[in-house]
Amino acid sequence: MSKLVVTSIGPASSVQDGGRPGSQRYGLVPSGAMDRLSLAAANTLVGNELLAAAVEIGPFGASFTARGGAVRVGLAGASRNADIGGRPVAFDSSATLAEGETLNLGFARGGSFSYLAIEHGIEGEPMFGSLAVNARAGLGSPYPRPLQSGDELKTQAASGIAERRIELPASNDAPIRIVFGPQDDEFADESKRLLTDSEWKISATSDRMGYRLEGPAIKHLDGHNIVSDGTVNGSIQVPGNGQPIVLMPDRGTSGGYPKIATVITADFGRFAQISAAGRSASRR
Amino acid sequence: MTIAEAQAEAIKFHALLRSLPDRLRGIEDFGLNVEALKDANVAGQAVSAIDAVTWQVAVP
Repeated sequence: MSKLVVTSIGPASSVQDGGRPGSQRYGLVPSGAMDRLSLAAANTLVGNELLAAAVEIGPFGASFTARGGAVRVGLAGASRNADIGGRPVAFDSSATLAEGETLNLGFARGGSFSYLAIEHGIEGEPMFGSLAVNARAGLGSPYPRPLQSGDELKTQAASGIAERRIELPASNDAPIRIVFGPQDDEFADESKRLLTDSEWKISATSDRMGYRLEGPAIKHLDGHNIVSDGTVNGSIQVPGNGQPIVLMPDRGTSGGYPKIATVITADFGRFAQISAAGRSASRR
Repeated sequence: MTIAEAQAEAIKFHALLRSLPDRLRGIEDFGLNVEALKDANVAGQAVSAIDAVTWQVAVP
């Protein structure tokens, strides 16, 4: 059996897939990839299902070594310097590591998350139908936590078919689009304009649970507590300090702060790729 | 944006996901994309200064 051994990896790197859609009714957070388009592109490169489990690699570098045979991988998402044994490897393309070869990946450029898909997928025991890791909940497989050096991702031997690249739409720096609600009536029009007309910085304390936005304080009309209700990817809740938090795939299933707006599905992955200290603007 | 507009964008996004297998190319079949190079700022001003037409790959 072939396997990819993690030889080095930074924080915020874990196995992710399409998550656990429909699980929220059981109080289970959906998790899943931060940027689904990039996950799907990486999987497509190696012939996997679009939202199959892959390695989501955070902003820092990583390296992986093939053991037990050759391993074919697809790379997509935030680009990085990449090489296999000194041989350059392009992003948005597939590559094969021969037995004993190491894939080295540098720091992320122009985004936060890259995806490394493995041909034939990653072996693991699905938990509630998914391998996606949620470290806080202890969910995920083959490791219910972020990846660490020495971890082994088991798979099948590489097929040896010709390598591919994938043509993706050009990157887009347009403002992130939102829909107001579901509790936008908790805010004055002036506060809503503040959300759409201001430039926001992603706080360094952001993670897979939520991205904290730093900018002007948004005031509530009548306090910041509501009866808790359900959340979705992209819910923009405003706590008492007026600094919005955009909820991400490892969010809580419900929230008790008013949600002024929601990032639209089509822009969610692009928003997730904005790096800490990166700037974001929203558009109604 | 309205909910209807957001739904329309979501439908377009999922159509893009489904189209990914059609976007695969051979690794050696590489037409240079000047716009993407500009976006990546690979060569910065040097790329911006070159007439894009001179970079096009001839179609047989």
